[in-house]
Amino acid sequence: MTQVNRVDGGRLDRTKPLNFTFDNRSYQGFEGDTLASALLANGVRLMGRSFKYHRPRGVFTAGSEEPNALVSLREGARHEPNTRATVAELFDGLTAKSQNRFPSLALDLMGINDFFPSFLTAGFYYKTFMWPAAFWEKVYEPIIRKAAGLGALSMLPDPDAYDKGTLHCDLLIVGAGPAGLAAALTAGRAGARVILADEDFAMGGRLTMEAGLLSEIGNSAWLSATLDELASLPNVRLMRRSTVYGAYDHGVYGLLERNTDHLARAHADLPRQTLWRVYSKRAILCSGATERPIAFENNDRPGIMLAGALRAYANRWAVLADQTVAIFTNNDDGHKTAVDLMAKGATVAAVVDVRADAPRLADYPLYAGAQVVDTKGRLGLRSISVRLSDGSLKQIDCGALGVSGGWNPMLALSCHQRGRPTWNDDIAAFVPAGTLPVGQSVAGAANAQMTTHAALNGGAGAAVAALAELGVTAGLPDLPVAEDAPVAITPFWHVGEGKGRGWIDFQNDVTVKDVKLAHQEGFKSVEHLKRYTTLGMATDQGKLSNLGGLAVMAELSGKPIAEVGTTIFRPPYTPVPIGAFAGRHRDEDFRPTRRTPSHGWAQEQGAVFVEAGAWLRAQYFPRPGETHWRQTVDREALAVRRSVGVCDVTTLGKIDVQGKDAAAFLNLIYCNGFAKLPVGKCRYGLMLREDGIAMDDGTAARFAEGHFVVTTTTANAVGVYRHMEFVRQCLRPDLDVQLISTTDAWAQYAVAGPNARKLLQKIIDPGFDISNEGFAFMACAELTICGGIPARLFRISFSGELAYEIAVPTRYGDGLMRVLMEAGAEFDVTPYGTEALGVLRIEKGHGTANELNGQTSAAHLGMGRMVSTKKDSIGTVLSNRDGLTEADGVRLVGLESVDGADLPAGSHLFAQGAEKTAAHDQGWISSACYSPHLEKPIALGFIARGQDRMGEIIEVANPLQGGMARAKIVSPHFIDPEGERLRA
Amino acid sequence: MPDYVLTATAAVEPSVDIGEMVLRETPLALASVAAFDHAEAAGQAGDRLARHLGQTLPGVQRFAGTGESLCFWTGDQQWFVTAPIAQEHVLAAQLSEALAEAAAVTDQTGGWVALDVEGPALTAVFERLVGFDVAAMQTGDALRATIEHIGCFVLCLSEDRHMRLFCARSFAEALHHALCVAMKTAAAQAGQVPG
Amino acid sequence: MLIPHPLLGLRDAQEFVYKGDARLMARPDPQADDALQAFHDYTYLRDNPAGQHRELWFHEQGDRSWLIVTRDTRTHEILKAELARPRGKGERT
Repeated sequence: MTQVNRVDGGRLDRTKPLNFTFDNRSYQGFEGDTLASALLANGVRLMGRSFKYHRPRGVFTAGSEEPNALVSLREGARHEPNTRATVAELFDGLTAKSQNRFPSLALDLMGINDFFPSFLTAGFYYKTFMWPAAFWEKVYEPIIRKAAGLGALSMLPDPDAYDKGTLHCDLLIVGAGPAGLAAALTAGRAGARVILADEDFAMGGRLTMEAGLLSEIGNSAWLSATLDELASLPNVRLMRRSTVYGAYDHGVYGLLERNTDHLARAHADLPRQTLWRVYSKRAILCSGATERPIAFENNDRPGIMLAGALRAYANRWAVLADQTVAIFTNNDDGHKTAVDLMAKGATVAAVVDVRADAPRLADYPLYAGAQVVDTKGRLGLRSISVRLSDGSLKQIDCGALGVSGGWNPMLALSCHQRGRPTWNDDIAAFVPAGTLPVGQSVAGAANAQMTTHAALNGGAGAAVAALAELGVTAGLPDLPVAEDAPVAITPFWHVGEGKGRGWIDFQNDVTVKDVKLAHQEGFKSVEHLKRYTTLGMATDQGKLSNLGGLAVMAELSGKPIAEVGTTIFRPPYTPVPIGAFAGRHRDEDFRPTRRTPSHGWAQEQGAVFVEAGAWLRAQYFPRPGETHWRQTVDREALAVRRSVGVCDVTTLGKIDVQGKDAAAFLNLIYCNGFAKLPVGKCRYGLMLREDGIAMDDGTAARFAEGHFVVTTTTANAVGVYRHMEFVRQCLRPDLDVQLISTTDAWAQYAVAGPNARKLLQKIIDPGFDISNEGFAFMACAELTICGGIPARLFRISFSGELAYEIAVPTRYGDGLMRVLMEAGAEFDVTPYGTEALGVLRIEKGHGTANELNGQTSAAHLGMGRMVSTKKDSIGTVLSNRDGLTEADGVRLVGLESVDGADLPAGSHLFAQGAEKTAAHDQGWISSACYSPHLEKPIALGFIARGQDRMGEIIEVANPLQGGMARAKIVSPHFIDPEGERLRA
Repeated sequence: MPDYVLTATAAVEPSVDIGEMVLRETPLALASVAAFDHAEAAGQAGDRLARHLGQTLPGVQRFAGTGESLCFWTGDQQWFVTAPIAQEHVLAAQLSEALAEAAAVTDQTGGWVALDVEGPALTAVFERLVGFDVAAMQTGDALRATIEHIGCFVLCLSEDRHMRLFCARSFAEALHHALCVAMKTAAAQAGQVPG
Repeated sequence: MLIPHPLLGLRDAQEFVYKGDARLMARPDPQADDALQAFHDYTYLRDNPAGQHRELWFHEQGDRSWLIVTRDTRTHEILKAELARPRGKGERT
């Protein structure tokens, strides 16, 4: 397959031809090509259709700032829309399709938009689609949705993995052009830890795209030698295909490394991309400069591109965009393209320079003081129309036009911390100034050091300065002789009034006329200009268009550009896939799962699990023949109250509180008293927030004068520990107490039911008396089981039955569950999960997180008298404020279903016959279940003056799901309200 | 003679080979020591602990000792002590006795799992997992890290070649998985595993 | 954002949990006559400076120490970070 536009030279490996397709046609390129360069080599100029007007477009640049050549790369689940063909590294088997056209690129029916430009000007959607109102949802919006956007998603799950990591360095260098390479050489030789990152797959920046920058040694020779040396230094990390996309606080940078996008097939264990957090002590921004265009009528045809890109394709990729080219420029740099293309055998039909005193760098037709005013060639440039200095018009045939309006320092990262650049008249561009992010300096073209000589020296000098701040002395390396031609430019942004449209923002189809319209309508500030016209809001973020737009606005407003200013630069510099931000945190790995000691055993039993925060807990244990969870849960709950059951309660927080002031400390964090708790006893503790609202509850067990073990709810374990450390370190550092989290250290099981004691007596070693007399309700002890394994026993009950919690060091947790099952077989011991645990505690009337929901106080919970008046504790003072002590405040009650209907949690409570509005709302249901013991649905809830309304029938409303039930207010203690079973 | 025997179980599979690296669980007895602050005890806890262990205590973010008997710094006047698993039922008690009233001692054997990673060029694995500067880590360092939302201690037993991680036992499988994924990535990048 | 922990050096803010104004350390006297009002102000009223702010951070993923950090809320520059509970005798100056 011939590559008609391919010439000699370039940085390609011609021994590696690569086959690819574009819009289902097959082509060939070489290793080292991008999709854009390979298409141009094959004579393909038409690569896309513009966003709004569907105008035929070709590639405009040779880099990541590309606005036009957006293609859909790859197929199937790896399909990636809006990929810039200029940065898509060619690989064998690459498939790409153009976007935003139907049915084809050459014949796009939506091109009809281009015939109605005056209806589709900037902001047209603010003035249309309003009438008739009914049409919006059914007609306009669907049409707009179909027409809008570029590219389409595959809608398939992303099969690739993404990874994240952290890198640390002394010096981060962003960009591996002349400035960055010189800086890396300087710092690397001085022994500093250096990261040199470049978004390109080949390092070198403009050294790879220009001819003859290093006159003596030559671009390639110096580049190779430098890269070889840097690669050999163990303290230097070269990162290709790596975009530093954001500058964050304190020298932290975001870096996206593309690992496998350029490979047809990659190792299954390699991530597609890695997002690195880079902690740098110093950073040098060497991101270079990007050329900008000039706006003129029909300046957007395929074949029209930046002059610097035109010669980059010739020099680096050995491609002539066309045999006959022209140049339009306002500065000396544009002429270089004519020189380079002539050297590659192209015919330069014209160099059109707006300056009357334009230089001539070679033997090409020069039209000084002239402007390109129009072009022809809808699907590809055929000719340009030039207004000469004498006012006459000349038509010049050509297939490619290189446009140069000057070069903009790529300073985005210098402004990510809300810095603003300043205007520099010498190069007619914005340059970094003012406050740079901490530790950052700028060198090379990014800092207006526009010549190769200046860039090399600027980079080296910046490295010396940065290292000096770190106390490292670095010597300047020998730098090659380099071109040093000063910038010669006359600012020129757009060719004057014509009837047609001149494009400023190619990707969002914003023209000079749109900027004028914005000005006319009063959207004159640069921030309004952007949002009203959408200039600079596309995926290229205005890299080519921001300055052109605000230059026109400045002219219209009669202000200098410096005064109009720029909008704020924000990360990311170029798009970053959401998958890269997620990294490994997807699907099952979204967050780590915590497993209980009995997890493996429970899996063997076929338990169904539920997520409780980060934990996986057994929810219920279905037995063969059980088809509905209610069957299982009812059975488990009945079995506990009938004989004995075992439940894993390891997940509740456990905190060791040790020290001579341990009791005083507990007195402070709990609203009830602990100073007099005897050794060998447990006590329920209620913890309040400082505002008097109940925060958490648990039990504290005293094993010694200065040793307590405190429990928390599962959900609040982390928060309570944090709170306790706050009290210890920030409020009462005078207390001599230590807190040690031991949640994971002990496997803990509830053993509950009338046969609980008998079961435990089979495994507790002789010598420990756990009879009712020897180990009364609320006792605790350290003992041993199964022949010497240390254990802790607590006689506490969540279910209201005779119950204990037994704890062993977690390594023995799995073993203990198996032993309990074996020893308990004679009692029909039943494992039970969180569902039955919930049924039992609701039947008993124990509140949990549902009741301690951040809105309820001790009084609301019916525990008002537990708040000690004899000592200070967190929350005591504000417990007494009016808002929490009102006479008709809510109170925790039990509710029984009157007619057998469910009483769903979250339902709201009303007096019988009351209107179901917020004004009459008297409370809510916090927990609900079916009680197999009462054989009806029951609930716990809060209702105004609940304590005075025992026996009253109320209405339970569930308007969201549509339901109404009646319930009787009862004591929350449905089972054994006298507590006889507890003390048996 | 007890009727029932309690057996201990490992937290994760004993050993996994990935490329030229190996990941295994190392059962260890573990106890935490936190000095009380009463004036007499300031410094006393450290002295008594050092005497009991027969070695100088490690400095901030460092560990002392070798093999299975280590002592690592976990906070101001706070340490973890490890010992061979055979001592799991006595380690905390012995420390308690040696420290008398000077420190709070808690048995942590059940609460933490030690995972050892050995192999060449471990920096390439851990730069994908930890936030601290692992490339600068030296033998004897003991640093806290959060690995995939799991709080860990990372001890450098041999620079770039042997790391020992501690995490709460309930997270052990999740950490094991995260380590395997990172090891596989590093192995693939280093060409240790065909694919 | 990096926080200079006095013992551990520069640590990423991700390792910490933020609580708020360091004035939370000055818990009012519950015995005072105006205790209810004092506790109300303590619990609900805050300054919100555009500038230096003394605030509490908990090193949850580190050594579990509470730090008092002086930070400029406009620039995130951290001017100082000290342990809330000083080492040694537990007496606060």
